[in-house]
Amino acid sequence: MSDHDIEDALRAKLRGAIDPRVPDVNAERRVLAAVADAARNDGAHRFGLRVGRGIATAFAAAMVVLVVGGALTVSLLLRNGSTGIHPAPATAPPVIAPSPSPSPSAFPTATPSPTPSPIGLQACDASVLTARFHDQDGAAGTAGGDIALRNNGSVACTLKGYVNLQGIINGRRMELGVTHSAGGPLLNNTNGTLPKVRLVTLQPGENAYFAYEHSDVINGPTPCSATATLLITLPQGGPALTLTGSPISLCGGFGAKLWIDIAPISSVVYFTNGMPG
Amino acid sequence: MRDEPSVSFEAELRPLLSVAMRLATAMRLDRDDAEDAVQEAALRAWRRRGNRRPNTELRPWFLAIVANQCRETRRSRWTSVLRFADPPEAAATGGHDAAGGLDLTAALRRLPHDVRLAVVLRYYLDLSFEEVAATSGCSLDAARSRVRRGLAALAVTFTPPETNQ
Repeated sequence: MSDHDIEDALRAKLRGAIDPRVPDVNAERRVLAAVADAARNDGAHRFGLRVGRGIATAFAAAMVVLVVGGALTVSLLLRNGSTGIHPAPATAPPVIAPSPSPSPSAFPTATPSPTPSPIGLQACDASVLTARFHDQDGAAGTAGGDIALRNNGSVACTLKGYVNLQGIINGRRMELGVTHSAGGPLLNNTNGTLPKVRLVTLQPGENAYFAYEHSDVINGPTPCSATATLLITLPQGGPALTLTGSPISLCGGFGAKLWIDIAPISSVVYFTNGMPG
Repeated sequence: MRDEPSVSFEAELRPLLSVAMRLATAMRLDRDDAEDAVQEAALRAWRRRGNRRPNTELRPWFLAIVANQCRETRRSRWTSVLRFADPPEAAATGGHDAAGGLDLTAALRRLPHDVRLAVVLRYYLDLSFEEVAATSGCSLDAARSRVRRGLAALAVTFTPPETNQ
């Protein structure tokens, strides 16, 4: 073979081996959306800087007023013999934090990630999200579906990774045996690829999704349990979201009595569209 | 409302994403890793757009960022432990071509990053040696040398059987 033939053969082989793996145009759209998000965020930062300067000017003016006013007040107080100052009551919003689990799980739990996302948006706080069952599906012995997390806040925020799940079983808050895409038939076999952890940006009013899957048939001597309430802790931790209305039977699997398999938070639905890339 | 620089940057970037995806796929040999690399490279490019010299073409500058990102990307422990070996379409092609593809990708994985980059730029993206050098951040001679080394290493994977005997 001449060098020219070898080069042509290599070109053809590379196309044959690599072209089928190249991400589709949706991937390009996601990239452009990420850049647009970053640009919007940069714009917000610049706006914040201008506001900051305005605040600094106002603060300087206020300080002048306070100094002058304070001198006058001290003068009047010395004259009247009374302070007349009443401290403002300190207020703090109530926070409901998850209680310690009575059955700590050896399975992976949510990993705290307090740092801002690479594009500068903050992680979604539980206070701005609501959870609901989006869809459900089932196969022999297993069932599952998507749970939607909606951003009800007024600013965009991000989610990345796996939630943690607890359930209320017989009136007790129980840690579930959560596995991360460990091999359940619904989550992994749709197109043969494992779900991947991705940064999801949630604009106000938008949903993110995570899929769950569990066994609904008895696997051994232990009877199944059921939870009508799921407590969803976000990947970065914090207070839990409460989800009720669709009892989930937990019959064990993967060495856990209360086994449930979940996929990472995604911008698209799992069960309707197949696995996100 | 979006400001003008971001709109013009996206307009400039959009036609490059296809070739960037192809480059990242060839370098990472994984669809998800490729998308992640291009996304991170695009964000880097946006943040560093002020560093780009005037009258410099975006394409080699951006592809260089993509290539660097591919080098830095390390597969997460989760995917390295549990991912499936190949996407379904690779297996679906079947027959000799599929086996040849696997041989070639295995051979590509064995190449040093700089050599693999040069081969991919030259023979997969069909860039000129000048563009290979600009994207790789090396001299024209170095680009030619890397391409030669890569070609020699890969040639054995598709040389016809009679020349191997």
